[in-house]
Amino acid sequence: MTAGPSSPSDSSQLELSQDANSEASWILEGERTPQRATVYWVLAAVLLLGGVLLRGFPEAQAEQLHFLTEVVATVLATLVGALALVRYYSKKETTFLFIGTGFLGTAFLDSYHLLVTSPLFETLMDPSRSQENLRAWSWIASRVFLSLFLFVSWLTWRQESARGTGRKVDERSVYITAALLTSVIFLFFTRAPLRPAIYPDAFVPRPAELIPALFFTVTLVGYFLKGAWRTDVFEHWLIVGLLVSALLHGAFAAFSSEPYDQAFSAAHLLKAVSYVAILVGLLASVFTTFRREESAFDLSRRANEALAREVAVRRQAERVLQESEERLQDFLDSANDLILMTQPDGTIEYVNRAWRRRLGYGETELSGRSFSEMVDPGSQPALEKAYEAAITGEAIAGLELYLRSSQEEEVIVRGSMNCRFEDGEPVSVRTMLRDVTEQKRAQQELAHSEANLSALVESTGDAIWSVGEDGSLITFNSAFALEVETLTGLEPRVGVNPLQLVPPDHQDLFRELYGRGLSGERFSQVWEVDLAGHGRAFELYFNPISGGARTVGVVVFSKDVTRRQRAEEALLAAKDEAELANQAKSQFLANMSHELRTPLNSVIGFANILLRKKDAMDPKEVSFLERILSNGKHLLELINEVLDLAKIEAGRMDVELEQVDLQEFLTETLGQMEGQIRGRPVQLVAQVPADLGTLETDPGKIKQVLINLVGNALKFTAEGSVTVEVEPDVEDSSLPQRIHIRDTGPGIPRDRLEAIFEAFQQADGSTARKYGGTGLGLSISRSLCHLLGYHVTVESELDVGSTFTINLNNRPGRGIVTALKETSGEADPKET
Amino acid sequence: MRARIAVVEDNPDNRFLVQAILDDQYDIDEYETGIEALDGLPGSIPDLVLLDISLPEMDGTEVLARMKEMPGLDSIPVIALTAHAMAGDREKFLSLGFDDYLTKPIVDDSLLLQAIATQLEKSG
Repeated sequence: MTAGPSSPSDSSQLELSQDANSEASWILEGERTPQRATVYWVLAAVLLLGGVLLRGFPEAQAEQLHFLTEVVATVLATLVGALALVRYYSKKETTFLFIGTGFLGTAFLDSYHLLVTSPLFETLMDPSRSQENLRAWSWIASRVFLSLFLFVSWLTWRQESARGTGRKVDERSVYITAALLTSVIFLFFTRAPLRPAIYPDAFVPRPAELIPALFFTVTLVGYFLKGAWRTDVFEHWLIVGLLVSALLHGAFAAFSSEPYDQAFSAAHLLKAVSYVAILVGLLASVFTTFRREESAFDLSRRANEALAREVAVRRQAERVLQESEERLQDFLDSANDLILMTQPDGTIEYVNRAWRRRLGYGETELSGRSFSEMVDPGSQPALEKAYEAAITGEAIAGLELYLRSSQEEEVIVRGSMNCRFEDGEPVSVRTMLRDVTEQKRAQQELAHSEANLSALVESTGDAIWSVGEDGSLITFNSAFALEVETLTGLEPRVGVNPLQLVPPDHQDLFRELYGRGLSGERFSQVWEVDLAGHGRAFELYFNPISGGARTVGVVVFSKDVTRRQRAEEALLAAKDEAELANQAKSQFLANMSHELRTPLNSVIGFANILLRKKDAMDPKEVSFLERILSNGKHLLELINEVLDLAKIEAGRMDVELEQVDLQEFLTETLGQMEGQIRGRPVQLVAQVPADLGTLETDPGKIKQVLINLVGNALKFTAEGSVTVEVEPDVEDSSLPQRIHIRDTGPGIPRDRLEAIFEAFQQADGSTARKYGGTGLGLSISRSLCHLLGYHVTVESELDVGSTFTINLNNRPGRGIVTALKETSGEADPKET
Repeated sequence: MRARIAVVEDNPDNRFLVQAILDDQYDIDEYETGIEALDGLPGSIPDLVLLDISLPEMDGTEVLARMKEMPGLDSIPVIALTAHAMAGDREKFLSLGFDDYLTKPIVDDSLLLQAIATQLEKSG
């Protein structure tokens, strides 16, 4: 048990320790019980043995020694008494009161004994009185007195310890008793006649010695049994003193047969020794007390210092704690997450800045309110459940709540909750939440968009699916599932290899197609597959999914084109057929033309040859030949025109457009027809405005039309003129708009105006006979004009003439091709 | 010396007519088919050939093409005399290498004679 000054804060070290001074000698040690007991026994044995051995020695002259020992004893007794009283007053133990009083009284009695045994006293004393007796009895009195007081001291302790603590003994009465007792003894010795104390021949020469020996022994036993000698240094020395005292009487003094013999001297020496022992005990006790006080003072000083240090440390700790709390506060406030601490019943204890800001509350607004006030009604069950779980010690993660800000704004949060416990009791519930409103909205939007997309993808009967980088199926619509099931009987699932979803002999093809798609190529491919004997055709569109720099997958869109494919095939077949038919028709027409012409060659040719010699022939025969010739020619003309018409109507007539200068064109065309007016009173006139621009047209066809119409006009005009006039556009004089062919012929009856455009219809039945012609010219002209997008009309007045007009429908930007579209396929000459 | 004209024509009536038109001015070799003509022409090189188009076995255009590959025949003027008289036929035959194109029936003898004279003059 050492007091460690290095750990002042440990309060247990503040206890007083007897062993604070580790230097203390064994004298001061209180824990040498076995040795002490041994000392007692050894001492007792030595003294007893010493007493027995001394008995055989003769008397010795030891008056000087006696005097000296008594002087020393008196001084020692005074010292012991004084010290014991000092000790008594410092510790207020009754034992010391009696010891102190006893020794002071003994000192008085010893000094008296010294006095009566000194040579000086012999001269003063009454010689009648026995000096020897007084000397012996004064010794005995002092010893009895001391032994009595020591006995009483033990007795008092016993009574006190039996009654409990409390000092009942009045010190003054003790002093008075002692004073009275000594005075009485003194007076007794001076006045009363004394009996002899020594009986030299008895076994015990001095039986009175047994009285103090008895008291000392009883006291010794008492104190020994008290047991304090084990720990108390004074009581140890007291026992030594008592032991010596008891034995100096019982073993030495009692056996001294005459004054100043060996036993007598030893007893006196031992008396001094016993006093010394008690003095040593007192001094040691005082010293120990001083050491104790000093030690206590030192300890208390140290304790004070420790306390001061502790206070400083605590202050420092408080400051550190406060700083740490501020830092923690700052840290919590700097968090973006919403942090909340409540009591187990949900009453808010703390919210961080993010919380207040996000939910729109002031710094102090929230304390004392309940967390659930800020939670949307829909989230209340989740909150309650979380609290219940948290309070039973569960750590909740992934808690999602809909909160309401002070402005009634919805805030969606997700986070964790747990509870702090103290001594097994829930103390506070900590909640850390992250604002996921935006994220959640984005998710919802994404979900909406996905739903839209899904609806979009599902809304089509066409199969749509996508394949990932690793070649596995990512998504597909129900049309895909249906197609796959129809084709293979399998049910597609996300993650499977899509190659397994096509018939085995098509897997290589699809491996290649997916490979192309995944390499970033965008393409389409028609895929034909046989399904239960029916050919199916799908158009597959491969669209790579771009994930930044690389392709992360491919979306395939499949369109069932079986029907379209078949329709196209049918159309192609029909077209081929039609083309074949057309070719056959053309071939037929060509052949027809060829075959009809060949026999006419002979008819016309030989008629011509015969007519070379008409001068030598009968005029009648000449006329026959001429009929053959003219009918042959007519037939040829008919053949030509019928074939032309057939060709137009069959749509076999191609239009070849050129820019035509009408002035030049008319001059050339009309020039070719001048033969028809040779020798006739008819003029052929062309009227073309000087600034006229070119006309985009098929010159061959417009020429045929003009030859037809002009030819007709010349044919029917016996005299007068045929005028071809080009009329420009009203707004743009460079734009040819109409071509008029005017004649001064007989005119056409009103009711025949339309009929003349029909095949084989002339103004009247006799016309053909009179004017010739096939009756197909106007029909062909109208058809050709239709082909070119033109329109032919006629105005006529009988006996004045007729005007045929070709309306060119010439509009800027209006090509003939457009007109062709409008008219092709219905080039019906009957239509006006 | 009269010029020699080869007439290739499968129709006997037509051959007869052409001969009637030409024989007072020209010497005439008649061939009924293209094959016959190609066989005979090298032995009797004419100054001009009147070639029908519609011939059995080998038509006139083929005969012309063969002639153009045969030394001695390649420079003889050839006039197509045909009943193929549909629109565009004229252009077609001239582009194939015929020197002229006349249609049957021959309505005007003089046109034929004139065409022959023109070609003979041209070839010298």
